[in-house]
Amino acid sequence: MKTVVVISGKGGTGKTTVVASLAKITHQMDQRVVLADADVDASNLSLLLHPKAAPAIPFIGGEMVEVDPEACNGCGLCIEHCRFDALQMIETDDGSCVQVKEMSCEGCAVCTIVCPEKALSMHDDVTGEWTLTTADTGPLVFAHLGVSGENSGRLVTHVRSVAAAKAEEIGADILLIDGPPGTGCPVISAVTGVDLVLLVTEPTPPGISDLNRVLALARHFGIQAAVVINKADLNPSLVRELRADLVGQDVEVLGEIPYDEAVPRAQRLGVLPIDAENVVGQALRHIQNRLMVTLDGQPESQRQKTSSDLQQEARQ
Amino acid sequence: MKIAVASGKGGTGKTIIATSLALVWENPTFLDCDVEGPNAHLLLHPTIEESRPVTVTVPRVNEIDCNLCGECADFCRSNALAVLPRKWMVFEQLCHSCGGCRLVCPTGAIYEENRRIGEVRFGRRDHIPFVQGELDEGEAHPIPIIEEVLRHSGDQGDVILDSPPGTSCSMIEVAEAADVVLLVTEPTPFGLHDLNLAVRALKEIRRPAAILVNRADWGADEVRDFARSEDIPILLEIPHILKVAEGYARSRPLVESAPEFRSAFALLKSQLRSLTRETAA
Amino acid sequence: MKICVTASSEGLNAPVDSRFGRAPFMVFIDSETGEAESRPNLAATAGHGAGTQAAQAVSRGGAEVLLTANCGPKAFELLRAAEVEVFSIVGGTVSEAYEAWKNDSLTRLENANAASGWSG
Repeated sequence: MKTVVVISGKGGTGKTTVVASLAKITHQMDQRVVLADADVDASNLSLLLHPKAAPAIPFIGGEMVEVDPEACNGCGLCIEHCRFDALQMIETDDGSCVQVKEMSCEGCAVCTIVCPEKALSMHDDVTGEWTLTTADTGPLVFAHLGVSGENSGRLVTHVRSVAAAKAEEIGADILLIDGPPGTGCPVISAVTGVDLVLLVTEPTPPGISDLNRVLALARHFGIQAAVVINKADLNPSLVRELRADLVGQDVEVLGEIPYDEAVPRAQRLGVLPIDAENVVGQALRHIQNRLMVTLDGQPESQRQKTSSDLQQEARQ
Repeated sequence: MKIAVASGKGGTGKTIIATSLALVWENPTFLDCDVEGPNAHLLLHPTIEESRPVTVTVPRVNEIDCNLCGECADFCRSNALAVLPRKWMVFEQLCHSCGGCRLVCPTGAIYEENRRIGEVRFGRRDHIPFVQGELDEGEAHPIPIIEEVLRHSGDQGDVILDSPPGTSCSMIEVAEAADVVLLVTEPTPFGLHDLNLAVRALKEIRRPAAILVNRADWGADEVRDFARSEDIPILLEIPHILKVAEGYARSRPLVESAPEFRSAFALLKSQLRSLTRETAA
Repeated sequence: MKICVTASSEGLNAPVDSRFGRAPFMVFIDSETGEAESRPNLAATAGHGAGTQAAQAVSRGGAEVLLTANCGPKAFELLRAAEVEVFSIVGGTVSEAYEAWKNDSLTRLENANAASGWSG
């Protein structure tokens, strides 16, 4: 089984549409696919795939501090030690008492150890919820992080582990992850340990600037990267420059998708633009094919890569 | 006043709008707070005059004093520390810099050092002071960089904040610093879904919001219904204009590719001003 | 020398558990005597950081060799620092994995091969 994460750095490059389309095309070819939506801030994959209704399960993503107002003597030592500005003193009828600013609390527990009255304690914090369901492409896991929920990376890791377990259970051929934007903690959680990072970009200066950031991230974690250029006809000369640059970096371009009104139209209708009659559909089918070839060309797993590396070393 | 330009969904045109707003404003400061993908400089073309590293603290151990008791690793909620039979280890990228390990260490063996996670750059586009933060690739925590950028809002004058996308802690950090948040959306199922999430988040932190609909000619009825039901004003609707998309692909801001929109942006500016005054009153 | 194998239950005949941090048991085998000691993996039910906690338990348990299937990058870095060699196993029982290691037929893991439990 291969795990592929699709990211773009910049939003709006068509990442989610590409993920859903690749899943659908792969499914139509009788391959078993599991999908994980790791964009836990704005999970959109289910809007395209219309999965069955399934229960949302609360996710405990960390801890949060709680104040016992009876025990608090208002000394303010905790405020002094909190580096996240997450505690404030309020005046009550019984004098001063500390209050937690839940949006700012990182759950580090420093306040609980400096409090002389043991008035602060930690309790589990539900930071979001996740759902395992079925779409017509197969199993789909998605999640939603609560407002300013801490540790989004933990929820992403959880979504991935639920999806990986499901993939093992059904003997899936591919686990496709729809990754979050940016390069921070949830993105790192989404990319670590995958077989391939597929980067969806667009030929605009911001698109390429963000592509270079996510390419650097893939390099940082030593993961193979491949690129899909969406809306490629928006700026053909920039596409030529980009292609030359990627050749120099030894990064494969799996294909280009032209800008076509069929994409927003399909999106508004809640369908996928994979119609084989359409230029976009043809491009996506070509990209799916190239993706499978690229994955087949990889060693079966890191373990065997190690053994073949060792054999090669032994021969030298 | 401080205006954050944000969007639930990425790629709706947030930076195009933020930069065009800056170009019609008199004497604004522009802060690019989208530190995981700062792009406003590609449209505003500022001259960068200075850059400074942003650092966070990480624990280090004085090996002579450390008795490898493991209390620090047991305490650390981020699992950033590990204590082995003969070795003390820190996973720097996991550390949230809370300082707890130093407090619990019974032998005082732990001290803190600064570690770079990104940088802040300072420059100018004509009369507009420009500040931009960037998180280094491979680093997990953007908030310290955003805080550093926000520190340069200046004491007076108006500030335009280009917010990170989504409703993550980064976006909340920027929205909390703003007087009003302009949400840029597009009339697609994704756009509406993510706009709803952003509106929920702003209600939770009690920040006034306004909406700008980009590519409104794709059919903005649902966005309008949503805005009405949430009692949030739609201040401007912009159609999908090919020359704007092409201009963007060639690093030109909207009001330069389509100067006929300058007056609409000037009007947007005064609407944002009066919205801030209303909410302050 | 002690060899640690991640397992689904106790004893030499227990099935190997492919997960490192989340395996319910760790079976420590003494290569001098062939005796096995099964310890519950306290990290298995930990909310987060199971991999790094389990790696510390392997090292504190005195093992110099770990036989497991999947190991994330942070746990791997820790095991390397603790000078614990990691060999990759797939399926079978604890004693089969141990025999395979004795016969030198297992591949040594040179890199982490599983997703990180990264939490920002």
